[in-house]
Amino acid sequence: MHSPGVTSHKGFVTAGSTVRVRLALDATAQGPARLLVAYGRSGGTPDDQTGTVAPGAQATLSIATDVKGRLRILLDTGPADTGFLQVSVDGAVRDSGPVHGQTTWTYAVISAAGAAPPAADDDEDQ
Amino acid sequence: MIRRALIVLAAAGTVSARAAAQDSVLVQREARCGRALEAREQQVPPGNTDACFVLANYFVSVHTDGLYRALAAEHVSPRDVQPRTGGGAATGGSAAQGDAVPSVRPLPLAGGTVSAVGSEAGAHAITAVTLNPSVFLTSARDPREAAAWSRFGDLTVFFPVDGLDQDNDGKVDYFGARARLNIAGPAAGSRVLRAAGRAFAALVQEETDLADRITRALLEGPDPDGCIDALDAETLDGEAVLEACGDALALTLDPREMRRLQQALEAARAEADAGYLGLDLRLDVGDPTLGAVAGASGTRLFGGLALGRRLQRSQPEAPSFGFRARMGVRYVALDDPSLPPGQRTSFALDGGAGFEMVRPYEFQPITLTLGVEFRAGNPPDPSLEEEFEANFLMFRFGIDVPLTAANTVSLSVGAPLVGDLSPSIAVSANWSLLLSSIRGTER
Repeated sequence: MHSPGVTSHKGFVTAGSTVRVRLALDATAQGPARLLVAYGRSGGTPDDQTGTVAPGAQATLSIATDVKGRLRILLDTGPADTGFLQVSVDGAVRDSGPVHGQTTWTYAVISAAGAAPPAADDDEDQ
Repeated sequence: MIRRALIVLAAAGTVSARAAAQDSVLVQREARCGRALEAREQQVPPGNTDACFVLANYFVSVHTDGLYRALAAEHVSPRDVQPRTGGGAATGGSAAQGDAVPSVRPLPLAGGTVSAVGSEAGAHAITAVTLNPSVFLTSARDPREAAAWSRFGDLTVFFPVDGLDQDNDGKVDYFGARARLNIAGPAAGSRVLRAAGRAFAALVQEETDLADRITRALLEGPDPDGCIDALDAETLDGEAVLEACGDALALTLDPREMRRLQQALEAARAEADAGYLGLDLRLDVGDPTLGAVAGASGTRLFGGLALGRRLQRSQPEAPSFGFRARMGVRYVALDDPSLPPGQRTSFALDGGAGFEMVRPYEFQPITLTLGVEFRAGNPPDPSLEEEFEANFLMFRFGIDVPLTAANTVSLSVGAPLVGDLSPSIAVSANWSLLLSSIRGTER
């Protein structure tokens, strides 16, 4: 089994929510960083948002989810550059933390709550 | 009639029971995926909603993150591909001019130059300091603005340091100021960054399609537990995956898409600084000939357009070539009180064109520039042509060689082809806050 710490997978967000990604790049960074957010839709076409962040500055990108899919955030920056990345869903902070060099975080975008089948603990083979 | 109704009811009941059984299997499989997520310390959706889809996304991340890490390992920092302006401060038009044809690429933060200049006037030393005002004028809360304006312009002040007042008249004999305004860089960067975004989105869509296939395998495949185990292996066993999942899931992205993303990101970094189009503004007060021509003291203003373009290569370390050109109008007002007022001023057309070759070398590129500069004017009196420095064609050559991550040394030569102008040679030591030695050790 893979160690949970080494994957970019950060869990899930619900379709219909708006995801905001904020990057604060440290002033010691050697150059501007590129922040990319892409949203792939199940059986659909993707969306993306891109931004540039100067050293010592911050940027926020926002992407609206509508159906089931996958979200990947990519911070493209120098190998020694550091900063702080924060992901909010509908205004509430979902994940945040310091980043070092090129970084990627991923989320599954699941169906809106209520459309799901009820929980079951029974095993199909039982 | 009753019998037919009973048959219909019985059939409906069978369909309903079958659907219910299928729903039950799906629910159980979602629950199984929920438990698999829990075992991997991953967030489980409430009621196991789309738990298999979340688990599929987890597996996609596990198996594709390596590709993104490889992308990071091949990362070329902005400093690797960012063009240099000949080392630092803008000294175009002065005896300390470093490039054959000066560009208007600004320094992002600050820089300076100390030049030893030789001409008919003898040996002199000129020092110049450049500051990018965006350091003070842009808001750290507006990153797009900060990123754009740091590439937009800078200001340079320079003066001779070996004799500020050689004629002992109580005034500084000569000083100059330069402003470089590049309006093209930020826009070019935005266009290419947009292309990088599209390449990235295509890759994520491919990952999403992969997650959908895995979800189907987890929900409908012959052996969901075996499928989970097979997908969780460090190295995928194609036969085991096919047997347990019922689908030959490869869990890899198209390398061509990955390469496209990498190229797009590299291009985005390079493109932002590859071209320039902007204003070249110059002010010289005093005697720019540093005493070589008596009566040349005055005030000189130059305003012009400058453009340049470097043709980027697919390999960041490969030499690249580009062109530079500039054209503008120069106004001169001489100080000589012995001249009639009508003979003290003159306008001239001032321009240049040339080539640059850049050879990236570890922390900085070696830059070679070659070109001609000219001035065409009509002095009020032909005998004042030297004082106005009008009408000449000059060959120029410049080379800028990196010494450390933050320092370069440059050599520039100017030789008149037409016109009575002093040849000149300048050796300059340049420093810049742009570069840091950290980057070199990180590669």
